[in-house]
Amino acid sequence: MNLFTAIKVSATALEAQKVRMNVSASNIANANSTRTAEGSGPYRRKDVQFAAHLMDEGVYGVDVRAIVEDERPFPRVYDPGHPDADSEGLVTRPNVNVIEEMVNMMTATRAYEANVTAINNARAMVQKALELGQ
Amino acid sequence: MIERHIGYLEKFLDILSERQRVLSSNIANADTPGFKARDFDFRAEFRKAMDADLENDAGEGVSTSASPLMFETPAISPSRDGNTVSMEVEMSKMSENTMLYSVMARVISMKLRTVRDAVTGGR
Repeated sequence: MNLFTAIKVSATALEAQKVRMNVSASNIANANSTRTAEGSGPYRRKDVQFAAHLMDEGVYGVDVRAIVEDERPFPRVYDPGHPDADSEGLVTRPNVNVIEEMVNMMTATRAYEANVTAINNARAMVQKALELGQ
Repeated sequence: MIERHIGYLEKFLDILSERQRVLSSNIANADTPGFKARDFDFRAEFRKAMDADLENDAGEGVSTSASPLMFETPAISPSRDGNTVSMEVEMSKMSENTMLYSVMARVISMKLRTVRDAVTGGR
């Protein structure tokens, strides 16, 4: 039935925004990680790539196509007392901007709420159709 | 004879749920780079359904026609990645759509009740 497709479409968006939220949380948690388990320098910021994909009946859902690394350069900060300071007293810090991540999280939340509203609307319509003739 | 007066209303419900899907699709892709928001002229589709119904005087009902003509919603504040979805526009269209659906469902129910009253003699 038509309206169930609408709900499926919105559900793909809920999933995608959730992944985006998780990635943002990971970035914020590691905003100060000057080392990683792999050992090759500080934490590099991650980001999600969204892509539309065609679902049945000609409408588009959304997918996280990939989780990519942010290629922006690491900032180097003068902090000679830091355990990871090099010989010049500079520390290579993660390229995470906490303000940017907060804005990202707010956008993801707003998009999540909008898609929940869309699902509620589709459900209300199904409800109305069930009440036909009563 | 009943089909003549309810057939096109059923088609209205189909048109509105088609629009719901398109709007859901727009909202789901509000953050997808390069995605263009779509919509269609549901009032024109209503007129087409009514005209098709009038032509079917034999009461055969309205057959499902081809899918509606979609157009790209003009972008209010186009973003750099080419995405044209405006959350506010899509949400208010969706509100309108849901309310119209309720109204149409109610109209159909009233028509069906009229028929039922005629059959049962109002009892």
